Amino acid sequence: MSLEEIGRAAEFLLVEDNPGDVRLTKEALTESKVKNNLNVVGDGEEAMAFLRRQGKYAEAPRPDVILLDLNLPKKNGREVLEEIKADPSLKRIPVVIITSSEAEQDVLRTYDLHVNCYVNKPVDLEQFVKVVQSIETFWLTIVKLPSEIEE
Amino acid sequence: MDDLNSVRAISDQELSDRLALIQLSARDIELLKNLHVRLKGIRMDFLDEFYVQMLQFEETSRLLSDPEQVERLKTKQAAYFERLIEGRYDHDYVKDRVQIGATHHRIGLKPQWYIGAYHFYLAWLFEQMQHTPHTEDKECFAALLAVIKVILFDIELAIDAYFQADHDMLRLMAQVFESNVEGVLISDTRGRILHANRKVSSIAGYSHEELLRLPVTTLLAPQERNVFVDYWQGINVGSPWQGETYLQKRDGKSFPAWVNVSAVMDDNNRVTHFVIEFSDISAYRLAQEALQQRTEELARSNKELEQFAYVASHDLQEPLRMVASFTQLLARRYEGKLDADADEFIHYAVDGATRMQTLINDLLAYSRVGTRVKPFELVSLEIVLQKALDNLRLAVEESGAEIVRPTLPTILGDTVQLTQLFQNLIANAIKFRGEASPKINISVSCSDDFWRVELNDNGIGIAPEFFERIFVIFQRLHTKEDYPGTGIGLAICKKIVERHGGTISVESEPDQGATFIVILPKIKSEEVNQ
Repeated sequence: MSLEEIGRAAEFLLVEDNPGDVRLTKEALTESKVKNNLNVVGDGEEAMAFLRRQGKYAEAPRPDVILLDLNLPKKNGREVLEEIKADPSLKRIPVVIITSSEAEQDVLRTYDLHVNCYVNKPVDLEQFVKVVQSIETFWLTIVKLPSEIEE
Repeated sequence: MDDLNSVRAISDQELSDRLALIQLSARDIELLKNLHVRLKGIRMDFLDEFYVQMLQFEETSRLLSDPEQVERLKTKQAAYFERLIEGRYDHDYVKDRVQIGATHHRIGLKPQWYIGAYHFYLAWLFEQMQHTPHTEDKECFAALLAVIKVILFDIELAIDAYFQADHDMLRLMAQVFESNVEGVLISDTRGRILHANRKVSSIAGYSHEELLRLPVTTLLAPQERNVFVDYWQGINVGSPWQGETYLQKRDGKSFPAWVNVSAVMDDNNRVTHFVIEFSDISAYRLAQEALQQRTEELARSNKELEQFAYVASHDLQEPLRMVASFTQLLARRYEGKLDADADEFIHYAVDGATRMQTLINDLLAYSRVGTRVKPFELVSLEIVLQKALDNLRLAVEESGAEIVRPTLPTILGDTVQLTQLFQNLIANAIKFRGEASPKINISVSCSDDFWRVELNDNGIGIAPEFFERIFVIFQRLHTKEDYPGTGIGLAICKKIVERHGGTISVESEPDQGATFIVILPKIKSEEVNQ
């Protein structure tokens, strides 16, 4: 069953420390066709707390897709990715790296850590909006998500 | 130092002493004068025989290879023998004799040869006197004795002069040996020191007396002694050894030295001595190390600067992306909804941010040439050029550019960077075209160590005063309206070429097209084997 058929909004978890990027992502998603919730955390530790429903995140929803920045305070994106993929209860959640790093090393290492896809943040606004919308369309309307089966 | 060719003066006292020694009396002189009168005009045919004899020996025949020279010498020698019995043994006479000895030394004629000539002369004299009546026997005998006395006097003078010249030469050589700026040692065949100059003492700290009889190996630093055993093998058969090693002073301190060791051979190619020359190169080494250190520091600071440019441009990108994105968002959402001023302000903000993004991207690309580097590999410029043209396919097609290309060589380099080099240069040729459609002619030639690739176009050209400037980062010759761009392309080209150990330059005149000349090193044979 698709999320629409299940009858709930799609849950994104955006792990991003830059409020500007958070706002831009929100802007891009407002024009979305699929109903979605954008949950935002600002660093790696918060991200893990959210996913494990610890502390103030006890009631947090389980995200359908995680949008993960690489350069984060406290616990960086690679560590977060590694922890997610090592946790049997989290590893099925698709993780999209969205970063300004174009370093080949970062691309290869995150794929080694089983990232689901790696996307560069475009410098230009138009491109940025296009990329976020493409991610949304792809993961929410084209892809068969594990969460659709689990429910 | 006396001039070696100058002749030692003989005092009146010495002259009379010498004549007294051979007991040349007034009577002897009288007899010699009579003999002189008698022999005057008789051909001294013994000289022919003498020269025939001389030509048999390799040493003397070399001196007498020219027949004209031999004739001149014969005439001179005849005059010489004539003067021998002329009876005037004054200063001029002595000076001439001494001069002859010095000349023999200079031309390398040993005394044994010219002393032989007296034998021929005496034999000839005997023959001439045989026809004298018996009544004059006594007088004849006395005359011969006088001749022998004069010959002895002559030999003494000439040999004296010969050895004086030899001595002067030796003194000169000894002076050179003593005052040499290098330490010089002479050892016997067993390596024991026979002679050492002052410099050896002053460098190594041994007194002259201590050095004599010391084995030369004492002066080698202990760790070098075994190595030198091998060197001696070669030195022993006549090939000198030269190189850097460590020597040891009397107090045990070692120092770096430049050393030359050679064997002295006798006529039979047997080693008689060794000559060891050395200089202390501590100061030179220190200077070299300091230079090395400075070079490393410079390289490090250059590297840091490149890193800085990279990091700065990379980190600037992030906040700038925010500025650009949000001004663009402003424009998107509020254009036409506020007043005309607001629209204009937004327009300039968006334009400025966008331009700055391009600049920072270019700066990043420029600094990447030095920081994001791969080790050099074999790169076919042929493939590189093809790749560059593929990347430019659209621009080439749109402009109708005609490109003539030769077969290009393979060099050692970075494929990505070399592709960018060709791409930038060809893109420029297309971008800065004139009225006519672009014609780009690529040619290649080579010298011993370098390839020279020329890219000639028929574009708008460049005035000579801008030749240097076009390769400097962010230098532009045209307005953005005429030709867009930040002025990074050729700066990147220059950096790429220089990283490959080459040079880039331009030859052009306005409206006459431009030729960019790229010179890149050929692969060295030792690099092929690696």
